[in-house]
Amino acid sequence: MSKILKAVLKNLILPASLLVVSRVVGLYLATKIYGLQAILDTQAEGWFSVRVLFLDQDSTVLANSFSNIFMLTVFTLAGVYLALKYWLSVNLKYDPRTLVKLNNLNLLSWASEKGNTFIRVFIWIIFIWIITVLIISDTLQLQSYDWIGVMSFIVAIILTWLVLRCLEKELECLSNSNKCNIY
Amino acid sequence: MDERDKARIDLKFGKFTDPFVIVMILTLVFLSILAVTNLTPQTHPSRGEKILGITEDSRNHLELVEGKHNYIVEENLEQISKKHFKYTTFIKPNMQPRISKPILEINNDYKNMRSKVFYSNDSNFRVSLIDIENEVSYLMIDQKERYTQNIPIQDTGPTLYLAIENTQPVFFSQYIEIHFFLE
Repeated sequence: MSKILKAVLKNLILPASLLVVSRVVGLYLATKIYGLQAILDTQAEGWFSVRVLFLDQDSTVLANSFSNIFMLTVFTLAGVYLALKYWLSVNLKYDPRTLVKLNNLNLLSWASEKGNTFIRVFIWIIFIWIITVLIISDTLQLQSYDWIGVMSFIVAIILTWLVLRCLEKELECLSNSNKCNIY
Repeated sequence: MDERDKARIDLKFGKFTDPFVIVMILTLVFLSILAVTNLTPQTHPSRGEKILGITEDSRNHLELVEGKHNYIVEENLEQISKKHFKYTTFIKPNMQPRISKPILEINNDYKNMRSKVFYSNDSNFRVSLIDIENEVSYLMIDQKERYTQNIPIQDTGPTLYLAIENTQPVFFSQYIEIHFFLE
């Protein structure tokens, strides 16, 4: 089996399942925090037999917006965390100052963990773009607040820039030696 | 089988598994997006429609009792046709084994009334109607066992009670739609 496909498959399972889980948890929290009446329709027709219904349009928009923000927050935090970790792990090999700083902060083992790869960061950013497209689509259909659509787009752009910086480092590293963690 | 054998098999047949892995990756991404799209909240289609009392028919044969209840909320009675009525309500999440509430006042212009649960989003509860003589008419035992009950109006008296028996604890709101046909 191709090494890159194996790496993609391995790193895809967690974000794919977290996407669904964060949507469900976001909806659950929205109903609990705002005291909304939600019903779980188990007889819907189509691809899935379950859908979530709210009594009025305002409740629907509020719950949808809340769950969208929750999904975006979860993936943004994870994306930033992984990008930072990867960035540090690449710098660790070539910059002695980073090595010393991380050692002083007792974060050396954390930054040099196995599996700290570019492909993992890249997959998480892909999912952030998927979430952004879903949120913008909801916003255009007036099912979510406008500012959430704008915010998600800005977050996706910033994180993509971070990933491009990581990619730049990776390519630089590829041209210098064979110590890179692509897969 | 040692590592060398595994590597040899992988080298020989590994390339044939790649298309399947690509399909798996795409399926995983597609399914997670589809699940999230499907879990996008929607407004309940039956709400915000015509309410009894706004109809042209000046004499109402069925009327909502209304009043406050801890769990049976958002009651609505809609006149579909002259002799056809649709009653909808939401049951809030609760741990009670049985709840009941007076729901309808019946004017004795007709002799008989057929009633049927047309829709409910949950299958773990029993729905019944109780008259003032404590005569229980089960409309739904579970999702597969639904009954059309004939309720003689002359013997029933003016008030009809709705009773819900939960067979399992309920974490989401339940929605019930009961249709009444006067004869």
